Amino acid sequence: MKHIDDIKQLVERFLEGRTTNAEEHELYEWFATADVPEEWSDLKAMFAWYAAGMPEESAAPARRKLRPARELWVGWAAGVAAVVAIAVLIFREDEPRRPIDIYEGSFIIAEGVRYDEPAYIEQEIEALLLRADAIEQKADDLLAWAEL
Amino acid sequence: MKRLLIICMLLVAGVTSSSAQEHIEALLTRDIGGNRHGITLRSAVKRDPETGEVIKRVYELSAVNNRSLAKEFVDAFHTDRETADVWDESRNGSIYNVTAVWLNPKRIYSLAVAGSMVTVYAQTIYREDKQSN
Repeated sequence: MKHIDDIKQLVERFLEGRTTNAEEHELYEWFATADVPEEWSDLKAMFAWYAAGMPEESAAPARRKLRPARELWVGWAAGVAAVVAIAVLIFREDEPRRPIDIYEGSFIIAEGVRYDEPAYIEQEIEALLLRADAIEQKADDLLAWAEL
Repeated sequence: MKRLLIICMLLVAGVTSSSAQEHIEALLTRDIGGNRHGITLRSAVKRDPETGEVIKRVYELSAVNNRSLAKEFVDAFHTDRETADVWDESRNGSIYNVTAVWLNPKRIYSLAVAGSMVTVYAQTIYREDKQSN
């Protein structure tokens, strides 16, 4: 009688398609007669189906359930990718937005001294932008008049 | 040869574009960095409050009791006039005004001179301000 580790190796070789006919028959016989562990019940059904000459497609449950390692990896990878994508979306939503400093880049230089503290320059900058908007409006009128 | 010609044309276009307001810009640059007595410079960046994106940048230079600076700016505006897309000048009493516009990108320069007082605005518009429409 073969040791269960030998059977395990034989099963792996069978699933990889590397067993001889004699080895396959050995497996059919072992799974038909030995005390098969519970976790191998699918394998037992599969080898019984092979041993019976593969009677019907629907009667072959085990081999279809056994997924090749590559297929399993693809499934795992897809699952991990989905979890990561969801986590990124969740954390991005929770990430606090950096407050926008609308006066960033604005400053005043008077008598050679530069001021850029928002609280200090805010009113003057707002007034300047209003004057600039009025000039832009005049420029737009000129452009419209010149049909440019 | 054809590629070389295209590159030369692009270089000429770039130089022409960057030097369109060169005399005005040279004066502003000189006075922006300097510690000149009697000159105040204000620089404002208008941003989209939602995104922080820059809509326009404005410089305002004002000087009092500086007749020579006023004359320098008048000369600079007139020198750069020939490249402007739009030019408008007027006199209202003792105040002499000029508005000059260059396109692509839209740049607007405005000059107001009253005796020894001079105010210059230079603004570059990067995109339409949706809120002002």
